[in-house]
Amino acid sequence: MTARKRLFFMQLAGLILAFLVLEWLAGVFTARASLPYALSLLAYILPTLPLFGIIPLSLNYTNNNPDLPLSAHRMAPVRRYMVRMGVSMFFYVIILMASIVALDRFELSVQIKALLAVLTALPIGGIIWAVSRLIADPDVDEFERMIMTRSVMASAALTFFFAAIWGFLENFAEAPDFPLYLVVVVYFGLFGLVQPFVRRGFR
Amino acid sequence: MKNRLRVLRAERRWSQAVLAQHLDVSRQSINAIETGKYDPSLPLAFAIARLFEGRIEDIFDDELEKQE
Repeated sequence: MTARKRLFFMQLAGLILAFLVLEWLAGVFTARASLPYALSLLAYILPTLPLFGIIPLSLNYTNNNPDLPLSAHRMAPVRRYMVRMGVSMFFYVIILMASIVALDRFELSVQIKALLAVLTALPIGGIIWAVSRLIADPDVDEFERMIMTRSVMASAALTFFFAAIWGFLENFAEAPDFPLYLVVVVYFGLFGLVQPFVRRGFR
Repeated sequence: MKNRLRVLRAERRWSQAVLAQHLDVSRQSINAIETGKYDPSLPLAFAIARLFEGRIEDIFDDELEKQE
């Protein structure tokens, strides 16, 4: 691993750690003090700010990576992807935090709760759309596109497979319920994990 | 697909990164094409042939000749 790569991963880990610590502090803080709705919402949303640092960090890394001497024309799709991803993430965080605090603070009807559930999931569609647009972008390097396409297929297949295994574990062996929304997290996690293996096949 | 890309590149003393810049692709693409693990698209194959002032069949060998 090069020094540049090590620095990038350390900064990345730092941002995620900062998010976790601040979010934990927000939890402790709002539990102790009985704050008005807007303030406790703010207490939860502010700690997510470090997460958005991931976008300039990644852009800077891919831009200066000596292994990927991509021209400006090749960088454009990555920039577009980062912006789409950032906007989706921003709305996801805001809506999720607002929903959590609203459910906690107010007596809501089932219809409103259902509406909140759908609203919270909408930005996840935006994240999936951002990835799809990146893969379909004609300015993306064709080899990179092939790696991404294969990674999407492999991670989707593995996600379905694990979901099937867990489903039977729940039915047969009393395994704990797996929250369905986490399937998306598993899918994107696997998408990241399989990429180096897909890449290795072409060395 | 077998090809002479590594030889042609060596003749010009280009690194994979330099060739990648000439073709506006990633260095990884060049590596994967050279090792024969990845077949370039038709437009990229034409771009490679044009860069080395040859024809596609001068650079890429689909091994048809062996079967004949």
